[in-house]
Amino acid sequence: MHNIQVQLAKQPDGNPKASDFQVVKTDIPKVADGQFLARNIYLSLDPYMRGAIAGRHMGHQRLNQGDVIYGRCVAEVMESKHKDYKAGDHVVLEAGWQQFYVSGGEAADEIRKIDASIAPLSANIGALGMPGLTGWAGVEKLANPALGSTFVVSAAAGPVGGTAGQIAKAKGCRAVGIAGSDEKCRIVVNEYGFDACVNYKNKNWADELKAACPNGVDTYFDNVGGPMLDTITQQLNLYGKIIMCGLVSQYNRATDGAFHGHNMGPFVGKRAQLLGLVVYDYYAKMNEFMKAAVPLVNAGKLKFHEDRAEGIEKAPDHFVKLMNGQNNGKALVIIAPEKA
Amino acid sequence: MNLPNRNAQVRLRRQRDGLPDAGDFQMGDGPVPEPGDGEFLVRTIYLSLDPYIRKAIRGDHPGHAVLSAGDVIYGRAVARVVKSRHAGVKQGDYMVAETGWQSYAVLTPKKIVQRIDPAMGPLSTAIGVLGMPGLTAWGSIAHLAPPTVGDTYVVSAAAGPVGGTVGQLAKIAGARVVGIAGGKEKCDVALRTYGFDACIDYKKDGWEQALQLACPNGIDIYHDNVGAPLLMKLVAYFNLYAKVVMCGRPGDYHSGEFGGLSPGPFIGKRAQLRGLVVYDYEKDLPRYLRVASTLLREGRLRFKEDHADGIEDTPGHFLKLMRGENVGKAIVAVGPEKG
Repeated sequence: MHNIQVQLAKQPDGNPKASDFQVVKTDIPKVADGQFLARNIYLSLDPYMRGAIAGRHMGHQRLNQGDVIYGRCVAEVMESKHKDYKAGDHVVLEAGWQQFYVSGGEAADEIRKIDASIAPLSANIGALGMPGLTGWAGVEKLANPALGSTFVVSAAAGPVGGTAGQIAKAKGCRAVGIAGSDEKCRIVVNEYGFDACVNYKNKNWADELKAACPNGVDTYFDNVGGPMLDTITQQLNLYGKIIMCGLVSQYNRATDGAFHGHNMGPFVGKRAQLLGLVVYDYYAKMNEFMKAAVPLVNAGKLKFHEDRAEGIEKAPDHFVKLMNGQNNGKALVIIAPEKA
Repeated sequence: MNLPNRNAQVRLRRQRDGLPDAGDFQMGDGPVPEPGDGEFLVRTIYLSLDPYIRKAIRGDHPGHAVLSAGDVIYGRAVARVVKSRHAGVKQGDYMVAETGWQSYAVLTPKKIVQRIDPAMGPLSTAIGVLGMPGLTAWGSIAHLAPPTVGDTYVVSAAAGPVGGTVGQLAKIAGARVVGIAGGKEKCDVALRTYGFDACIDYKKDGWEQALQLACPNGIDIYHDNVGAPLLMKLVAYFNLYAKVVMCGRPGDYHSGEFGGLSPGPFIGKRAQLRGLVVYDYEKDLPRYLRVASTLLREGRLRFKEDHADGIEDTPGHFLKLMRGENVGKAIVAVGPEKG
């Protein structure tokens, strides 16, 4: 048996290409005392990885040629010489883009045991994983939107935006999504149950947003940044809140200096509150999040949509698709079947 | 200073693009006007000069139509009522009002910015520390971003009336206060008059290192009076969950692809930015005036004014302000306080 892994071939310039990655066959490492071997089942693909590869994302060193790409997986423990883990345990951990990973249980591996009976395994890297926690924290811990207020979220078909909007909806808000295709908007409205969704690629999307938000925008959960934020700020009500969470429109930019700059005047005029959100701050609240989210999942009020590719060697193409906005819902790669 | 018996005015001579110069203004003169029914006549005492006036002249400021050649320049002033034909306004009342750059003005009540109780403090402070600039500082420190003891509090345009007041109030609240200002003279005001812990001259080489030394524990709160280019530099020294009060007038803020605010570093710092507009705090003015007039009397709250004398010196004093050469609140003394 071998371990197939995806390594960096060269640092992407702008939008990543499949040729920036290389698929390599290596040996499966041996398990030493205090370690366990994980068999990766699902690999999560997320926009932050673009910045992580370049060393622009917090806690991530810039990768060099030959380094395994950063990535979080749902995995099953196959063999363990670590006291806290036993064969058959399911975990989410930072295992990288590869089939097998040996962990010593270090904090850097960010290992979280998961209960396979609660929800589909793959949900643990989506609506019930970090993306979901991000959406929940932005809504419940930062914005705390009021009943009846209008909550707008971009990248609404994705797992962060989709969870944020559905939780806002569950709190009694009017939830309006923004997404980059009619198919994504269909998912947002028909599957997630948002009140409306606007395709920002339509020329008159700003007018469509205005029509979808007849009482103005009270909260904007921003996953995108760039000129879209300027447009939405124009529709923000006085004292509106902007959760600064992601900048997916900016991640492909080659240098930091090229980031879009926002005129601050409109933020002042609207007395806007801009709040930075980093999900790492809420790891300790994972149980609180699950207590809120699992009943919503069971009640059919928190849904997720996955865009799957099969086989670790497909990870580069699937990531390129994600970074070009061509995915529909949570992007993940099936590395291995759930039952070995 | 004697009571003027004519109405001296500064009018626009020509409307044009670019930085204003002395040739854009001309002196005018007319008889002292008479108030009609529902109007009152005021005499200008202290004229407030502010950066927004330049935009107002061109119609780029909310509530101000573009001026034509011959129009009196916009401006607010401490004024006294000379004659009233309005039931709510009495002869002898002091107020801050939209008088324009002239020694007399006929007004209606909607031109009143603020009534003045002369017992609160020196009259001129009604356009400074006891006026809208002071209330702006109060909105920031009492409502949007109250510091806790030991916080490091940074403020830009530190020698001005907003920056000076907010920094002094932060100091009274137990914060370490670091000002940022352009030039040694302004920094001296922040240090000696206002008593800040440090002041950084951003026009000097190495100012960023100096700032870092002045904020050994990082920045907890930044009151921003100047906009994105400086803010984008300061974010590097923010502590996690740092607060920013965005307080520059919209017109002061630079826009454009590369000059503005980029959210990335603020996300990393979990920063909280809030926009401040002083009008939101008008209801809180009485409470602020009680606090500030007491501090003023006790000598714990100080102010710095940059005076010119006589209405005819107004254009020159305004150009000095536009060049950033004023030190403290720019004021023209137009008429006597009494009489």
